[in-house]
Amino acid sequence: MAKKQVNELDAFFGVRVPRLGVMTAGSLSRGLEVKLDPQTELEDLAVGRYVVVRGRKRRFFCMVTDIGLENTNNQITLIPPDIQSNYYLADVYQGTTAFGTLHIAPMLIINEDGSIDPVRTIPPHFQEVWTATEKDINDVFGDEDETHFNIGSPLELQDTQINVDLVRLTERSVGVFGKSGTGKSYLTRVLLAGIIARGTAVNLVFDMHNDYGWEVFNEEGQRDKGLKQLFPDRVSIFTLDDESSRRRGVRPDFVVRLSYSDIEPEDLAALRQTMDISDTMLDAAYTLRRRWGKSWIQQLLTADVDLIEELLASTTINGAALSALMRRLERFQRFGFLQPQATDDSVSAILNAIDQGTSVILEFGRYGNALEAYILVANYLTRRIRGRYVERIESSLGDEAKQPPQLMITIEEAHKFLDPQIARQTIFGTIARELRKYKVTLLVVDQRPSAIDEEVMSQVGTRVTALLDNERDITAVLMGVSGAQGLREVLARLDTRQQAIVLGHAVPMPVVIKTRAYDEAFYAAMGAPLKGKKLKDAAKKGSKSLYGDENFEGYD
Amino acid sequence: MTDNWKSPIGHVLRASTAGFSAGTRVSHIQAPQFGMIVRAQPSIDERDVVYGLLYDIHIDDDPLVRQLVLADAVSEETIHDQRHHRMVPLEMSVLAIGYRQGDWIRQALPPRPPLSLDPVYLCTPDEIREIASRFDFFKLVLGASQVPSEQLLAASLLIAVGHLPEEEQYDYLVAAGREAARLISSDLGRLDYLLRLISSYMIG
Ligand SMILES: Nc1ncnc2c1ncn2[C@@H]1O[C@H](COP(=O)(O)OP(=O)(O)OP(=O)(O)O)[C@@H](O)[C@H]1O
Ligand SMILES: [Mg+2]
Repeated sequence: MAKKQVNELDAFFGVRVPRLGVMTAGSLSRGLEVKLDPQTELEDLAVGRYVVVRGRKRRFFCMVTDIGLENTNNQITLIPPDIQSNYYLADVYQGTTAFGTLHIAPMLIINEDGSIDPVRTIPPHFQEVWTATEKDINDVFGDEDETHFNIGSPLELQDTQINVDLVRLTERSVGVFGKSGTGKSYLTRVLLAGIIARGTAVNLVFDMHNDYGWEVFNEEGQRDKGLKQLFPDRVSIFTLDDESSRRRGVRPDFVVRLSYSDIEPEDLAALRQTMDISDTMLDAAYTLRRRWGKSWIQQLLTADVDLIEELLASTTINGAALSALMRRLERFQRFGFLQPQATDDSVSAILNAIDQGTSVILEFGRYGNALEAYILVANYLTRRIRGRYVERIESSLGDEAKQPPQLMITIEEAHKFLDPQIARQTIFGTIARELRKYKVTLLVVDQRPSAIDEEVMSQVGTRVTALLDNERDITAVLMGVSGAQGLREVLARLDTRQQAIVLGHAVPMPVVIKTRAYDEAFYAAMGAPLKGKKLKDAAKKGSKSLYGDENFEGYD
Repeated sequence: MTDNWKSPIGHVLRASTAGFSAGTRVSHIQAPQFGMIVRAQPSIDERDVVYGLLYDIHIDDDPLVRQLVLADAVSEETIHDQRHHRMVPLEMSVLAIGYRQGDWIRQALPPRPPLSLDPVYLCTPDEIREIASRFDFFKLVLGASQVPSEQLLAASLLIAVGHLPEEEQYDYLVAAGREAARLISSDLGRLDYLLRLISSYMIG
């Protein structure tokens, strides 16, 4: 008698969707326990996969959050059977006396008509648990259409798509998190491509490492295309460092210049940590600004001893603070993009592009290595652009036609802008907290989400997170997400690359994806028309709110 | 296997709903075997056909045997004669595991026992397959106090599995083992003993 493998059948018939086991215990808040059938191979399972509990009338769509070993008699752990020399014992014991368990978190309910609802109850005892099928997934995530964009596939169903709702994505702030090298920049590029392709928002990208505009080299050393190459008419590359851009073969549409006279003390406030600027130095800056007006920086940098003495005598400014402030400001002189004359060109050029629906990618060139330059410029431009947005939206008196387009601003190293110490004072903190009133939202890319202000984090509507291994970062990303405990295990066990959890506003439920490959097929899809069938239907279904609605006030 | 299920292997001596004993001539010892599935067939249809597992075969003594045992030398002829003509039958004990109810065999204790002198047959391959297809009788076997349960269940399963197509045999024994594990996982010593009895047949 030959030992027969259940897998042989699969090899013959093709992989069928097997029953995994039955639900035995649990609760809505803690999740459900599943006793696995003997034939379910533990080794083929993984946290983050989807399973469906088939209740009497509805399907409960769940995510595997833990996998365990149990037994019906603890004695077996003391005297384990010798299964190595007796395969019959192995086949009998495994799945009966000693069995596998799953812990699953119910995510939502699929009704008989395919519509979805949030979970407010759980199925009764001993219902069957199955691996989710392509149909289950499609019922939940809908088809790709005018507003839904494929960003990857579930781990176990690589031919199925997970589509995010780009309207919902762009109407709140978005976070892309993950350790270094996990694919944040690639993921961000996929999201930006989707937003540009579907036109749900116009983007302004502060591109610290020249990752987004033109070609980049991937880990294998091959060139991958930038967004300008995919969407030549809908993307403009602006640069702070013309020389660097040209060296990389980019022909920038605009070279950005900023004026000293437009730098405000608020811009320095954002640099407090980065440049080690103390409160007294900041106070000094505000005093100088009041006294000398817009030329305060230049006057200070060119001041002679008499002027300084006169200043110290006539104000409360402290001498040590003043000279420390001067030393900090002197560092700005290395930045070739800063110039003495007043200029408003760059802000206007960006706004013009945005008005025409053209996304702007601002390359930092070599200045990307100077964090203070990055923060200074991002603050400077964003403050002005948002100022114009606020003016225009307020004067439009609610007339959509007079309003500028929805704008999404991408920043990297976001915790440097949104640190709890400065988040209240910087423009980015303001944008993150004010919801979508002024049609400006953020896309923050960061590897240390725990360093981002909690209140700001709670307003990040959609979070896309690749592997994180620091406990505090994991906690920060999952803050306010129901069933987060289960997701922790999943999050800490993602692959080191090209896998992510998407949760929040733009998806009906948290979902683990293998990120869509950014390759030739992707480029081709960006140019091709949508193949979607029931576009309208899917749009309606997908936009159904599960995570909040018009009154979304952030995560709890 | 031969067609040895066609004629009775004995007749009911004593019976209860829990089981029965059947007797036959000692010379018929070739047919029965520990672990076999047998059937007591009533002579009239109104009564239940009772199925059971043969768990004991024994031969009682009688005064003549006692004398012969003490004798110095007993001729072959005497022994043969004694076996053929002795007045004490070979006795087989059967544990009831089911009864026929219409078209199918119910795996539960019969409502009434068979009566004395009802003929007892070995089950046909079809009956064996039908009984083996369900595991409800495990509980009766493993729960019976008067029988060597693990030995009996293992022997019955190994006899039954011989009537299945070869490619189904291993899976069948695994399924049976799992059912046993479900029933007696509280007593791992017994379970392990049972599984080793079954596997010794496959693995040696
Ligand atoms: N979706 C994808 N398609 C193709 N390749 C990918 C994808 N995601 C990641 N990669 C590969 O992984 C490498 C690292 O990705 P990426 O540069 O996006 O990481 P990162 O998280 O931004 O790292 P860092 O923190 O250092 O900026 C890429 O160079 C690329 O080779
Ligand atoms: Mg990166």
